[in-house]
Amino acid sequence: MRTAIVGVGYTPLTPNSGTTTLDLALQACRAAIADAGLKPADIDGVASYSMGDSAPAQSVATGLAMETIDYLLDLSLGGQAPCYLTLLADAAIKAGMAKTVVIYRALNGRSGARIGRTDTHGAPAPSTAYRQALGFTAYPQYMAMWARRFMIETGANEDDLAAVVMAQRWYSHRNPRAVVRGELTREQYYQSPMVASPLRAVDCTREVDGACAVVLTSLDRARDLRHKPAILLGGAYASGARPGLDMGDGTLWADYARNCQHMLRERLWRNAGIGPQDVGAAEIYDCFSSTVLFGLEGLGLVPKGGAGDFIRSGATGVTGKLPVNTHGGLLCEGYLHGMNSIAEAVLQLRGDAGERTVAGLESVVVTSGALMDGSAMVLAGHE
Amino acid sequence: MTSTAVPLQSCRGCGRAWHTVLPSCPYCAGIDLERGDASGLGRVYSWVTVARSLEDPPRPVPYTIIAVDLDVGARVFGRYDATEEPVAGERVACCRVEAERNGALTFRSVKET
Repeated sequence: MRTAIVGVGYTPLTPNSGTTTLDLALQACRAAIADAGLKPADIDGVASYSMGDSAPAQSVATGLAMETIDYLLDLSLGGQAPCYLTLLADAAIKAGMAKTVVIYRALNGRSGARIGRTDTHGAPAPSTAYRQALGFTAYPQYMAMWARRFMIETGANEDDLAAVVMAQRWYSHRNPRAVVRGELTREQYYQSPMVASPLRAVDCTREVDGACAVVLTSLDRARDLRHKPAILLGGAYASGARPGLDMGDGTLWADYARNCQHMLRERLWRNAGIGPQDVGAAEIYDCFSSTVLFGLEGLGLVPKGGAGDFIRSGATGVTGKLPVNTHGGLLCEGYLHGMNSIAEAVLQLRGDAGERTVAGLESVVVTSGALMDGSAMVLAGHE
Repeated sequence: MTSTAVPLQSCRGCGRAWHTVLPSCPYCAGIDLERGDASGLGRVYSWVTVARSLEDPPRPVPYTIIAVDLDVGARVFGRYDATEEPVAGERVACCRVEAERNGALTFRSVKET
């Protein structure tokens, strides 16, 4: 038995939604359910993830007026979660626990609590309290520390980061949902102010208010619905050993040049039944440009140290060998913590991504997370 | 070569040491732990230079945070007490432990002997 994504829905992505995360979640879920050709009454499961910044699944089940509720799940995770949560819903459907699950991420990520600013909300773990004393407190700083080590070990440089951003701007310029539009030259890249060296402002995702949802059901049901299903071939979640007490706690983590994507790759490709050489496109979790290099090399899509040259060759463009982050990535479409990268993969497999559509696409690998733990999965147009 | 001692936690069972105080050993799960001072000598593993403070109120910038692999085998974060960019593998020594600021460590570059 397989499952498939049969519907996707978005709210507008804005700097200030002017509404609640519950309202955003319901807008995206209703849109995804309608896109599938279903009604809320057809849904019996709701799943989401948040970092204490969103409406829980029970509230969305209430707002959808669901009479039959077989599965509610809230993961207390951020960017590691979207593929993981889809895999959990897949497992629930296969186990007979649920039939059709809507999965969402909703947040006021710009007007409300901003992930990129600080990690001081709540009582800090001892690791966090220590870093606060140093002034080592923010997400871009942690990623920069990993990016620097990656550069030391692989020979990657700032031009490689520029290549990531420039390649993704081509796509975002052609994506009406994207909050960062306009193509970027190399000169413009280097004019962008440094935030946490080697990361510049344009290397950082743009925080937004908004929501995105997808609907997952069995492939048998999916075949009777409106769109060509995006079939889940398989995936994996992994963390390396000693992930620490919190996101920034790298003191017990041995290797900053390899993240969760390296840890999960063997199981990912085995579970998906295809290899990195077979996949047609990649939506790589990109809270920061550097993580695209980690992801491409970590998954074995590109040899270690080769990601920059690969991108500069045009291979990640829409007619290239492996189109990457075809929505412009989280960098440009907006930071919905990776839920939108799954939705983009589904639209691409349907051939419904406008000018950005990758011709003849048969499979897409999607990743979630770029530090110690994370997940990934492969979606395909055929079994 | 002199350095200020760095307080670490260590495991009597497996002998490993680490910086953040934990209830059990992250290497062998043992609970027979001790707290002690270790040599503050080590090498730069990675770093970040903060050019824009994201705190409220903002902290003066720029400043550099380094990840140091201490000779005793633990990795620690600290401030880098120099204006130039660090180098991977550079020899550093702890020069300050600020007890009143959660034990914040500062390192300076030292010449190889």
